[in-house]
Amino acid sequence: MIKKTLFFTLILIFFNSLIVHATTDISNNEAVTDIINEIDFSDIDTFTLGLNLDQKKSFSYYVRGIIEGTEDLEFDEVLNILINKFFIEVRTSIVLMVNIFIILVLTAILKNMVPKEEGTVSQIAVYVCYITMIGILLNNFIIIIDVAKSAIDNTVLFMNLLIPILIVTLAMLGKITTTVMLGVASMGSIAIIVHIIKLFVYPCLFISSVISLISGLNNKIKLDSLAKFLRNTAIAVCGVLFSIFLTISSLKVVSTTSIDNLTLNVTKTSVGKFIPVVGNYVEGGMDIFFSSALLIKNSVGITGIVVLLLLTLIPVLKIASIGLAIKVTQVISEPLFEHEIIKKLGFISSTILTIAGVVLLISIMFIFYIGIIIKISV
Amino acid sequence: MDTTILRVILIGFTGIILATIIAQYKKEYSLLIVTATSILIVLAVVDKLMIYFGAINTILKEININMDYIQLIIKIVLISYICEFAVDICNDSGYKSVGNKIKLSAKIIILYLTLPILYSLIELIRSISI
Repeated sequence: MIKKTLFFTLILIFFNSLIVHATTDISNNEAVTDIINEIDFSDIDTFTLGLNLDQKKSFSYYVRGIIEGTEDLEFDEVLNILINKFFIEVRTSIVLMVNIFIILVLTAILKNMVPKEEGTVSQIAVYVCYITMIGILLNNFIIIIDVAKSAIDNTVLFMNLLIPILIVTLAMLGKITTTVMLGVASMGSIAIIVHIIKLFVYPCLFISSVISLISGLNNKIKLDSLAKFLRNTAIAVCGVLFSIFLTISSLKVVSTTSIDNLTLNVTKTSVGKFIPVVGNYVEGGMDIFFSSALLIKNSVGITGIVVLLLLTLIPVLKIASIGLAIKVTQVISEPLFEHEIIKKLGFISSTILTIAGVVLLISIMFIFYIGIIIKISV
Repeated sequence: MDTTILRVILIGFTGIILATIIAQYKKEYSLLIVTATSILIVLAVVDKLMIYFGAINTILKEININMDYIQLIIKIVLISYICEFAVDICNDSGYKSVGNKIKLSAKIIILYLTLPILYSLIELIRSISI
């Protein structure tokens, strides 16, 4: 009697476990939604909604959409947002262009119609015109640096919200060592790089443009090489930071994923081989879990890349439109009269484009980082 | 415009001829005639200049530009024009010291007018916090 009941209960347990695993086997989607519901998207959702990129759709909405195949982040949509923002920026930078151009025209009138002697009244008036123009340029430069800094702050804030989610999904894949190394290394190096760029690179660019404007005031003052040296230093520092960050993150991944793969394979085979009957099902369940976690990780990463692109391209377009407007002003006003200050406008515009380049560099760094995480698979 | 330049040339020539004729009898009067001629010449074209600056003003209004600086600069440009003209007349009459005083006062007035620009520049420099 006891033997019979034991036998039946064993069979019941066996079939129960069979049924349970059969259900998880079939509903792959359910596993994905279960995992997604466990991840905390609230912070990143409020952040992306606060950006006003897209009124209704949050970050997690896009992640779910990509997984279910309903929402494919349409390129047209992103392009439309970018084009709209760009033309708004162009309109404001044309005003700046006209401002500088009119001042230059008035200066040309003064210079060409009044005798060119030292110490005349028109000499002082010309200097007043230059100082007004320098004031307008500096004002714009300060605005540009503020825009660039806030863009970098936004991307760093977004990465600080995104990295925990990516790390969690990475940990779900069983890559414990990679997760620990990548998290620590990336967080630390991002903070250091952003500090260096804010405290050294941008001040360098600002000082170089101010020095070039001063040297443009008078033909006697020559400070061109100093301005160029400061700008080149800033660019070189950016390049060094970029390569250091990429080396750190890629090296960590290469060295640690192999360790993780070893431990993961050992546990998987030991579970499958050494635990009789149930072990095989557990192994199958593990595979399903890993593949769904991989899907979630990749869709989170792809959405993150798109949001990062939008986050950086809008300020970059703003900065670049101002830079191009100043360049166009220089090209137009070259025939008006010959003076150093007109040549300096070209230097200023290229410095402004360098600032935009630094913002882009940081976003590319982060995109590479997300790409490295996406590339890690089971 | 085409007739204006003819008018200017005629005024100049008559002024010169009158001045040279009268200089044979009374030198002081010829100086007065030269001064009057130059004032007349400038008056003949001043309305064109005003139209030019008015056009700049309307263009600026149409594109919604902050007018303060540009109006100031236009003022300064006009002041320097008028002063160069006055200084030239003084120099022609042989009173160079008076011309220099006019120059100095014009410079002082321009410095006074540029005070807001200077203030805004200093405010800008103070606001920099890199």
